[in-house]
Amino acid sequence: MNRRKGINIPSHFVLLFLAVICIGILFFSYASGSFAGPVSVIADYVFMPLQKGMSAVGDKIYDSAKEGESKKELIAENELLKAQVAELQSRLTNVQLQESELERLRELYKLDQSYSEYETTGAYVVGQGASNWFNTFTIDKGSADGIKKDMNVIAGSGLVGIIVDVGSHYSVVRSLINDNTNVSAMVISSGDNCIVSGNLERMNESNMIDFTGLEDSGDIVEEGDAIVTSNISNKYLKGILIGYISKIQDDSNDLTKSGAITPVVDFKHLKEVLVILGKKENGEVEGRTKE
Amino acid sequence: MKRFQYLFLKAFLVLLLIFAGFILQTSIFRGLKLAGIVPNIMVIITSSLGFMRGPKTGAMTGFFCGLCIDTYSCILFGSSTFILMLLGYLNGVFNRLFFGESIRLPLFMVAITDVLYGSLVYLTLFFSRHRNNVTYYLMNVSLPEMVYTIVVFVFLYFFIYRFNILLDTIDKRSARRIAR
Repeated sequence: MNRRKGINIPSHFVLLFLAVICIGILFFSYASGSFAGPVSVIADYVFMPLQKGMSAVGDKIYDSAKEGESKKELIAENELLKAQVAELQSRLTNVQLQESELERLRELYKLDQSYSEYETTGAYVVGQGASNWFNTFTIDKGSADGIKKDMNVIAGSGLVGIIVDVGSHYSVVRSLINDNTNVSAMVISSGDNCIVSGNLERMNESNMIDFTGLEDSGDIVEEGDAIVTSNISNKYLKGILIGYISKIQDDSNDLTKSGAITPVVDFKHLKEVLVILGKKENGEVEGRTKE
Repeated sequence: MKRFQYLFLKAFLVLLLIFAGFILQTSIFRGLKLAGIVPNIMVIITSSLGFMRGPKTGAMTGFFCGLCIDTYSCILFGSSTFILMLLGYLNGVFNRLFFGESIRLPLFMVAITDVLYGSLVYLTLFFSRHRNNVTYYLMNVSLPEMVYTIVVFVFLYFFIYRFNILLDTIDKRSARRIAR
């Protein structure tokens, strides 16, 4: 059969042409920082409606696999208990945070809000990123529902990630455990800052993420301490629980400490998340908060 | 003019295949994860279409598959597009070896393409950020993905083979029209 009869452009011209387009796209997205652009229209009208249905099937498959191990009621009850634990945990951290802050900072400034006071909107996880290298997922709400880039995403008791890309009916969330995520965080017990960063290798091996650059001059931070997002972060709202320290060690410079955190969110079985509608820009919290 | 209609028909069919594969990969396979690994359907489509239909189709298929992946990812938009486009073209170069009877050669091509895809992603997006543990990423991300992808490919091969025959029929019809 003669395949070449269609068009007579030599294949290396096609390659060259597409390569130029690719490099153009790369430069454009690097310069503008925006991702999808025109492709998001396809994502809005082709991928989203289909994915919503298909994801339900995917979840069914997962659930039925789970059912083989135990009864459905047990799962439901477990889920309920987990939700309860998560809620209580988040309450506990809130109280802890407020206590320690109150003690030291009441005179200096007024702690007016923690994340439980922000207005949120619930969204379903409908698709995951198409790569085993990066941990992103899509949710079924977009700019039409008031979601903007850089909004924080939480689930139950803790931080899930941040919105990196918004279409009109979907948005892409980069999760906390994604390999190139970095979050400025704070240890509640001592108030010292550190950087929390996702790490594919550590996540695969032990379900943990890294933290680095913790000063801890008083030497009071120990395993089990809660880590929350810090107030100096310019994208993350302050006081959102990230996880608990599981491993801590001195760095070779003897000044800082680093280690691993077990995140509070179960990233493998995320089905619903909450998007915080208040957004932090240049350190200022803008947007609506509950009264 | 007729020739372009056939061309559009083919492009439309290939796009449908890509969309279907992408939705499959991002939604249904969520529930079929093995050890946190999802098979790479985009690589299967790029590689097999490139391999069956030549470098031009391969490059273009890879381009659109990559665009889909990039839409839902958080890294630099266009990186997967570039990588998959190149891989599609490379697969197309081996078009001459393809006769369709045996699954062994396509299997081999898909496996190689998947490992190459993994390695290129690693080199451009991980190694550049000082994630230096090459063997770890090879053994725990790239190779499991390849194995799983091959297993899925065995099931999909028949379907893609039929799809290719469909495209061939359209080609033949279009050639007849032009000759007339």
